[in-house]
Amino acid sequence: MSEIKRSFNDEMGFLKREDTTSYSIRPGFVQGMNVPGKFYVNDQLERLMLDELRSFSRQSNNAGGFLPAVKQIGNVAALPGIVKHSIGLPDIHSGYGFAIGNVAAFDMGLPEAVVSPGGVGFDINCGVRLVRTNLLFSDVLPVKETLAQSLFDHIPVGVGSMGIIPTKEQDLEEALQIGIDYSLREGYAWPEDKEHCEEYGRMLNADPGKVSSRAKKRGLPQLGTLGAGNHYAEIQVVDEIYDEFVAKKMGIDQKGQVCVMIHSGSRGLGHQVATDALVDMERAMTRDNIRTNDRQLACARIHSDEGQHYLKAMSAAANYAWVNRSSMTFLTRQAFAKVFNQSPEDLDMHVIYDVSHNIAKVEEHQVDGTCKQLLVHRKGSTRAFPPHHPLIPVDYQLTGQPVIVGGTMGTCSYVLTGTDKGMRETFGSTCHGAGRALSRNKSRNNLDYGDVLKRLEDSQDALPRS
Amino acid sequence: MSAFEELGICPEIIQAVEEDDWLLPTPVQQEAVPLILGGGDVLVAAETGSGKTGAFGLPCLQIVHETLRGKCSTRKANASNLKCELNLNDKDMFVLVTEDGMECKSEDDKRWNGIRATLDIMKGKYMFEVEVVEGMVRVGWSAGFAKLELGIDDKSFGYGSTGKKSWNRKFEDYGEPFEEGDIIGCMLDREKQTISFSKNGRDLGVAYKLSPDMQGIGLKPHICGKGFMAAAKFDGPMEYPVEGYVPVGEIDPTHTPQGTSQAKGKRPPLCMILEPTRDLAEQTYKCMTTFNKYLDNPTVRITLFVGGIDEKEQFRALEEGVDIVVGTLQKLMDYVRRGKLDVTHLKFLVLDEADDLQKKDDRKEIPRLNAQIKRGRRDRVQTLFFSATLHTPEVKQMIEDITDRPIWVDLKGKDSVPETVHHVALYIDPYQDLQWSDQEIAVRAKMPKEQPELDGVHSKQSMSAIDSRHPEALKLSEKIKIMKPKMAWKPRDVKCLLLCFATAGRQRQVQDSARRCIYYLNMIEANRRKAI
Repeated sequence: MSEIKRSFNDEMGFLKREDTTSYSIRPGFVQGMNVPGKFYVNDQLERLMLDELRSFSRQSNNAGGFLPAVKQIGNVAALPGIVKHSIGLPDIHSGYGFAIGNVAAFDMGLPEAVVSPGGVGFDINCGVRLVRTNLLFSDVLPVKETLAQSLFDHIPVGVGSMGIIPTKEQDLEEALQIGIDYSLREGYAWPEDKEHCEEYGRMLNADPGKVSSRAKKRGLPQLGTLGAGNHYAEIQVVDEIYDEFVAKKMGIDQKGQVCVMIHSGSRGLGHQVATDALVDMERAMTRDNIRTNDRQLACARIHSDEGQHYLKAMSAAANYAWVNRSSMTFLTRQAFAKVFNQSPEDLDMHVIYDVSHNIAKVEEHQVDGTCKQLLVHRKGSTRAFPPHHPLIPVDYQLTGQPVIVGGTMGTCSYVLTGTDKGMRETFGSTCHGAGRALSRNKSRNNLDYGDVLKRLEDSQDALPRS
Repeated sequence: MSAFEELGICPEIIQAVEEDDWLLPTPVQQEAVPLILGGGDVLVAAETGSGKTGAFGLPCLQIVHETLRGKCSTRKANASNLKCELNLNDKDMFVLVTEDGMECKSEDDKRWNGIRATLDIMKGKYMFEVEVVEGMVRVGWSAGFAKLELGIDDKSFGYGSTGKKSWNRKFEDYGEPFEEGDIIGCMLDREKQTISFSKNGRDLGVAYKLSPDMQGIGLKPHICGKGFMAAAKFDGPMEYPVEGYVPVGEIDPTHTPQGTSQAKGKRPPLCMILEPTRDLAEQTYKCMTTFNKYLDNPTVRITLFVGGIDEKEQFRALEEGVDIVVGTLQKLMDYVRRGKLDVTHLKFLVLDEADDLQKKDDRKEIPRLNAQIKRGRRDRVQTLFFSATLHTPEVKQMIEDITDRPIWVDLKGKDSVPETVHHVALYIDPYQDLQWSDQEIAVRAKMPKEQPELDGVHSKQSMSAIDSRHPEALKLSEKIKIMKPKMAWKPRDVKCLLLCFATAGRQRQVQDSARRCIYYLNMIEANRRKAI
């Protein structure tokens, strides 16, 4: 980063408020921007973004290599082959290379276009799945603690050769190749689950051979486990229904209805695939003469060996994550069945939808009037396709793709649907929820776990012992 | 935004590791660091060289720093004079204590519930008084690790309201019964090694004479009772002072380990890292100091405790205050036993290379150390286990003894036969392929670039000696020559050599090893012929 530090006011010269909810970033904000940037914020979020920029411009040195999210949007806009603009969604916050909540699409028709693992994230196909039930809050309230404990007992959290669902190396290979079809075959998933999953739970260009043995070694014992960090399995209650028709299509028909939200990804396997690719691509960058503003933005030409290798490995990791979520859905259904003494079928525990928010996909979008094939990187951002789009399931053709936005512990989650406007403006993408107002380290220092627990206790949330 | 930030590590530590070119966390770090920062007990099985030191070093250092920062900012008036009071961390669940730590009570009238005070008495003559407000009470002295019911251990000495003294579950008549309103004085004389009591100022005589094995063991004031309420008096003046005895609250800091650890506003260690060998301890110590480079406000003090270093240095470090101790099991246990190292404030116990540690632990020191750290404490001591394998029965036993609902991070897996076995056959005809006759090639069995750097710690010396120096190869053949009579076969009779590798070797390595074997066999044969 060979830039002279500007003052905050000078930086602001490049940012322009377009309307009540968005800002644009003029090329020149960082070196080499090919397209402008754009980010969506309300007043509160605007304050966070600009405060970050302000303290950055005051710093004399780059401690810990920290870059504010706006700068990262700019750096991404400087990548070769990027189309339209580098987008920042409302929950954007600083990340590795790309900010989390940064969407970038690259024209597959341009030979210089690149693919970047930083644009997908370390936790490949980290995503959310929402499962409905026939139960109401009043049914669950008396057995709240038992239910929470049952869920906790069924779904393992940690790493280690202690997963509940037994898997061997051969199973892992198949899971990586065929994704949710593996779970279906083994009897862990219902056929309807596949219908209600992004990509139908399986990316066709996956190639387990491109996943390193180290990644597989990490992935094998973790299949079916939840993972640490912001992963969770949460029992939720419908608080408000804003559009009854759409909600009914999803299987949500009354306030007080109980659902389960599972937020998880590809665990150690995805991390390893991303790490391996970053190392590989750094080597290829000098060979192919690719220059970026930030070392963390390691990338490779989409059609190069490294690029293709990564996409195939990424797809395999994505499949792994879907198998993971399917396994946990199975365990959740078992947990409920045990407590309520009814089969999961009787409880109608269908999957409403399963979305990914860390993935790169080849999609067709309208750019300046022409239909182009783009490689869309979504990091910390969810696909949100509108009604009548061919890629979404039959059930949701009239209403649009469900978009599941998870909240943070103790706050609400939301279920939205994709719109045409979103399709036009952000390549059919939206936020993923629970973006960070404080970095992980800052929240360690500023949030007291005692307070968090007390607030949860006060609001009657059940906490299993752990 | 560094990838380490996603794990929750603070910017100062990230800056230090980035200087060492740690840009991406290794798998074990990615898995273990968030779990450790989360506060639970963690078991980690990972190979050497996989970044284990970082995996425990970074989060431990961070948490120690956060703790120290917390202490500084809340500015607890931790005066340099010692306060003796009833210890909230060393009592039964049902005992309630007042704010000032002076009165205690328990409404449970079915069981004896007890509580100890904060100071260990090692030397001198001290006393404290207890006023019985209500109920059945037993007062006296006990060791920090004895049970909380006074008088049922062999390191626990009590005098009860029924007029009996109690020790090691033996109840004998002593003095007289006492009741509400009575003030009992408890005297401990560590010079004559006696314990005596007084009732309302009347000396009841010596109750116990301490045996010689009590020498190095500190005794703490102890109150217990059934459905009782009592008020303790540790600071002078006593209601009924006894000549020659000083109130415990005025203790000379040199007579109690808590004193030596509190002098000069010192800080007792918060983290202890155990290593099996001195080399490993030194290596870990070096890493920790690197991570610590940019942390300040306050700075974290890390010290190495191994044999072979000047003891005075180490004592001085302890006097001044150490936050993290890294050392061998032997050395650290030695200091703990001698009362030089206060383990009662540890927040972290890390056992690195636990399987090796357990092999060296021939006197079951580790469970004892664990007991000493954790006994009587209500707060958690986070225990971390790093081992090459977590599945042997000995290690499993240790895990059970020492950790509490641990989370597993097993990156190595069980020892098992893999599902597939790969065969690779490389044929060498020694008459055709004469590369083995070149000594240079024969001894260079490994490609220098591809081998891990020998740090002298993790690999055995014997291998590298052969490869690096040519004459050494002759020494080996000499060894084999001496061994020869025991060998059942003659080199010339060998028709085919089968080499087995633990992992699929690189082709070059396989070839070089094969050639090396042929070279040595020929050397042996040549030497044998010379001998004839």
